[in-house]
Amino acid sequence: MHGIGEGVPRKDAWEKVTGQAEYVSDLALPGMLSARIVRSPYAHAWIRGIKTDAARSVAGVVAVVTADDLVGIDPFYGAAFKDQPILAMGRVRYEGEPVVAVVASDEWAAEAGAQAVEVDYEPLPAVLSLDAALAPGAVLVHEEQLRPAGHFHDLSDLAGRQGNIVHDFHFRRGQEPDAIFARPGVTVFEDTVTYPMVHHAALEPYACLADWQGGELTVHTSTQTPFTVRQELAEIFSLALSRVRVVVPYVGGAFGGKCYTKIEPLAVALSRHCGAPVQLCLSSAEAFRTARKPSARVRVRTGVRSDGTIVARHVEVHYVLGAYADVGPRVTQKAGYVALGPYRVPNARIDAYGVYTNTVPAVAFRGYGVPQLVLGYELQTERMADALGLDPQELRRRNLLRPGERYSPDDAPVDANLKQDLEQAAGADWAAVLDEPHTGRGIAISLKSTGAPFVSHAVVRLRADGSATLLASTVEIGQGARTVLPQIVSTALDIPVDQVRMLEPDTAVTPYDQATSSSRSTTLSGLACQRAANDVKEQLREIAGRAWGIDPTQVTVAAGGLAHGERTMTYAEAVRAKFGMNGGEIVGKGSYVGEVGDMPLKGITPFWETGAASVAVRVDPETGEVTVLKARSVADVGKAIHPDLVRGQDEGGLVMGFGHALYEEMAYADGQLVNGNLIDYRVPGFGDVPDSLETVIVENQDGPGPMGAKGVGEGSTTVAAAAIAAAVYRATGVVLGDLPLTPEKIWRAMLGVKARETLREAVQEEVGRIGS
Amino acid sequence: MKAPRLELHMRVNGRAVALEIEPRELLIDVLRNRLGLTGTKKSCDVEVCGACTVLVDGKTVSSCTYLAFECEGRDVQTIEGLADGETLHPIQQAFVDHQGLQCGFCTPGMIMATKALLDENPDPSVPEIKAYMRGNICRCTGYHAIVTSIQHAARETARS
Amino acid sequence: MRPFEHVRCVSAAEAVRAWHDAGNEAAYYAGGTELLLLMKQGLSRYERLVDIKHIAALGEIASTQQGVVRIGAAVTHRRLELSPELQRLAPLISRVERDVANVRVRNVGTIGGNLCFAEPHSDIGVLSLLLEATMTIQGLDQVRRVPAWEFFRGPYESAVEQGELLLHIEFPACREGTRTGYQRFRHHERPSCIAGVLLEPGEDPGNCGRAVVAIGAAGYVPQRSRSAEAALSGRTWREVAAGAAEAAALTAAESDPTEDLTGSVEYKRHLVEVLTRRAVLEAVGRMEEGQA
Ligand SMILES: Cc1cc2nc3c(=O)[nH]c(=O)nc-3n(C[C@H](O)[C@H](O)[C@H](O)COP(=O)(O)OP(=O)(O)OC[C@H]3O[C@@H](n4cnc5c(N)ncnc54)[C@H](O)[C@@H]3O)c2cc1C
Repeated sequence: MHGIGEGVPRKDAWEKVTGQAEYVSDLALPGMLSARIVRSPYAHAWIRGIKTDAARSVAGVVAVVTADDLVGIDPFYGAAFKDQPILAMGRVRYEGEPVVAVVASDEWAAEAGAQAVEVDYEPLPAVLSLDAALAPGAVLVHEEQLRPAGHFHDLSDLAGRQGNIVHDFHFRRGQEPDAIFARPGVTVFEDTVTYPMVHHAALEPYACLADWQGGELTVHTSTQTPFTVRQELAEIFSLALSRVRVVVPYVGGAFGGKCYTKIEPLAVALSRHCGAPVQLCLSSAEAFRTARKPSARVRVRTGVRSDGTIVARHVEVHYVLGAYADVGPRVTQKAGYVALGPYRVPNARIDAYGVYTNTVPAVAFRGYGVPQLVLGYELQTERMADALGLDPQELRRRNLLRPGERYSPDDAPVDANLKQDLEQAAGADWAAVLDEPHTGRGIAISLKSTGAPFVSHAVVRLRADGSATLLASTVEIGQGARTVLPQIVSTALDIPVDQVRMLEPDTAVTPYDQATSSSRSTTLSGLACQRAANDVKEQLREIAGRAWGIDPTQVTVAAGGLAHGERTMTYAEAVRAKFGMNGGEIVGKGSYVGEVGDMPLKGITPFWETGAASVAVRVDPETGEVTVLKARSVADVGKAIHPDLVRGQDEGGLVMGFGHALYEEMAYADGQLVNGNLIDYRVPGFGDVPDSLETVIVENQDGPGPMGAKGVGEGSTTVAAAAIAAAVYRATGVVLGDLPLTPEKIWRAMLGVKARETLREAVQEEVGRIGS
Repeated sequence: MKAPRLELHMRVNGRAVALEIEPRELLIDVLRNRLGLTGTKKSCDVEVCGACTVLVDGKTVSSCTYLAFECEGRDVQTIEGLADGETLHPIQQAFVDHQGLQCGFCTPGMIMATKALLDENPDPSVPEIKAYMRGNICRCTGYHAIVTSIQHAARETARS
Repeated sequence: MRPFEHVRCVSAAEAVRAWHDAGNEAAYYAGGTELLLLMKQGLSRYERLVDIKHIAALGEIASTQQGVVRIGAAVTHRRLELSPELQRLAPLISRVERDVANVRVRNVGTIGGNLCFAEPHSDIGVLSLLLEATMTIQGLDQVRRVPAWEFFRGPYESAVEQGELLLHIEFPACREGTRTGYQRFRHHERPSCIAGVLLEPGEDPGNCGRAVVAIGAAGYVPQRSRSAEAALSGRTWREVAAGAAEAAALTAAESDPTEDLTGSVEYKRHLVEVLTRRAVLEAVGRMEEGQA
């Protein structure tokens, strides 16, 4: 009836398979105009002048808008710092930055207008790489005083900036690792890995429909964070929160790329300027120029004893955040915080930095900075085990945090059985495959702190007929929220799941929810929904108690009705009893409010998300091409409310990580993104997925969510690339941590190994000859 | 230049449609903007992702890069034409039953491509499925569930 | 996209005239799978599209008594893939077509459009060299025949001059017992490297009378490797197999790769060598298995 643990059909499935599901680009309002953006061709330049006359005279063009037209508003936005202008002001900081917007009656006119705009630039030297950004005397991407946006507790004390470092985060425990490294009996390993710039490539590019009606604003947008968007729009346009309505229909894929404000301020500014609704739908090529994942360089130094016990670790990570900070500073510290991995590290030091460069702004991305780190520490685990002559699983087991152990003394204990996860991941018998030449198996395991602190509210309205409407603002991004949250409510109320309907997020109607992110919705929004349903139940008990003249606590709730002894009452009867008519409704409220405090992230980790996966690959010894033969991932979810959806999240996240490991990289040449389209930028396709792809669900009911649930959705992404890199190492003997592991890179690395071997043989021969 | 116009007569999901269009109008825009058939999605815009897949005389095309006038006198099938009232087509049902979708944006194209595949090859092997579907990208599922959905769809279609 | 006019032609002469009437502002339009991408991005602008798909001769697959297969320029990839006639007469073409692009591009894109666009990563370019095709091209006042090795002039540049129309491509019959190997390496949407090998039996069926080695995608234009061909011709089949590595090295030395997103010069040269060797061995292997 509720399908807990077995699953019910997705509530959105019918709409999605028939083409009825509506996304922002499918919406239309009367009098709606279209917009096109003119973007910077330079990575860094002064804007000397903009000629708009020709564009204005194109038939159908309604307005040509530049930064000069953004009057009477605060034209900056940004999740961490308000550093990003709605349209470039005097200066462009990356290729693809919006400079001018053309609004017209239809897309053709907007496009013709955009082509007629002339912008005069004076190119400036640009910083395109991490090293260039950190070099002494480097060109500064931002020189202005940065204004903190104030959205997050943990960024409330955002300091200023040093050079191009926009934000840093440090964590210390025990003694300085360097002191420990110098001790006798401690072997030190050092590894540096790099993670490329990759793009979310959600199938639905960014889209927003803004309707400015005097002081009332309605925005339909493809976002994971309707309430943050509302907040930022209210601040930019000086509106009361109650006058900004953000509505989110179905979202065509997000993966973190639709967290926080993106194109909404521009769409709103254009609607305000033109006095008409404006639809701004980016192309896929433009989406590439809107957001990406923070690329990173991770340096891991670890001291171990000969038995494999880790005694100290120093992790230094630089996240390259591009031209605007977006939420990068939060990624820097949230991921930085868990850089030690799922291991017990008595003496630790973490230094995490977020760095500006003249590239596409880096934003949240599934895994939130953690996959980059896992690549570093897990590739090292494999290497350490080999050097110490230990089984890598044994080395891991020796150091893994135990259930209930604390990653950090003031944070919540680890609510997962990491050893069990590891065993499950490593448990597959792939001997038949691995006996073949040029194959190898790689394993990785990770730990991620879910965002803290978080706030979610939910409202359940029990209708006069006993059916229920759920108001909650979790966005359906494909994860199945509109199926699982109603399942939770239906379970609490014990009514069939098809009696619960969940509305789309609408900030004017549905209650506040911080974000659909961080694998949090089933667990934390789920708690709010469950509590709202329980609130309804309490009220129903009261009604029955009063009707029957007994204490409400004596009323039992089951099978969609109320009972005490022989007496029963349906929900519909209870509502009627309360209001004395066939009408009215019971409104229940529920909340989840995370605990705030003075710990590294200024909040207690609500639950820990783990990732553990094992992959088998074959590497073509001549071309360097990697084929993934087998994959097995572990979803440690506490309780799988809907196992099929768990598998969907886990498999999708894993394959997405394969893309980062093997194919994906935004390539720059002379400051230009040269592969910003899906022909030249390869994402995983049907042919890249092994026939044997398996998710093992671990259910220990150890999560804080409804029925012991914990989140899922990022875990497999955090370990995918590390497992692949480890497998490539096993297959080739090459330690390669510079993603993506393209055939050419692997070929070069194998050549290097071969050259060294040949050299070694030659030297040995030489030595042998001299000796005789 | 002044936009020339031409008459277009086609059948869309079995229904006759007559429109005056410009030569430059793409099939996707005619379907979405003129006929209100927004189930067909625009994504990569360069013929690789398959979100805009529709069938013209039974063959798949990328409607984002296909001129509408090509459909003169032809039969166009879109996702909206697949179900029989409230009854889903077996392919649609298989995608529902086997989790062949998440965000749903690639789904109409996936299903239309599957339709063409099964019309051509009612009992495809897994390698045949993967080869035929190569031009359809899904960023959510990791493909596994889609392959399973297609296998079940083949079985169901064969039965009905 | 900017407005344009669509002219539908039913004969080649009419099409060429329609092109010239527009005075350089026209483009021939077949499947449009390349053309429309450029036009949508505003990289190309035309006032007139001359539609050649309705010219009957351009849509034909025909074969002569001598076994020459003539393919009209407007025949789609998909027809080449599925045509039973072609599967019999020139099975390599159908085999290769299965991997070209994706099924939608193959349903619409044409062999002529592929050749005229002369995209460096083309499979058809390699096929036409390997099978020693001849292209027939019609201009305003003459019809020319150009052999495949003179057809490719540079990236996006072929022997088809402005305003000329490619009519058809002829593939000569292969000698009985001819075997082929075709290897492509694809890490991106289009292949990074392709190597094709054709081995024709000599008078003595125990010998390779003639070999053709063609590579593509690595450089700007597809190429033949005369040195490798010489090294393989006139050898016994066993010698051909044993000499695969040597032929591959010769091909790599002769190749002229260019760096692009799919690989560096050095890597592509390496791929040429690996794929050529594999293609030789594939062809020999097919012979042993009695496949074409
Ligand atoms: C995503 C994608 C993947 C691809 N992958 C591959 C691949 O793996 N291997 C491969 O070989 N190819 C590949 N291609 C290329 C594909 O084969 C071509 O797009 C197609 O064959 C072009 O044919 P068309 O009829 O659509 O040409 P059009 O786009 O109509 O024309 C292309 C050009 O040729 C001119 N032209 C066309 N016909 C004639 C003619 N008869 N005479 C004179 N000029 C003419 C046009 O004016 C235009 O300039 C790929 C293409 C895409 C979009």
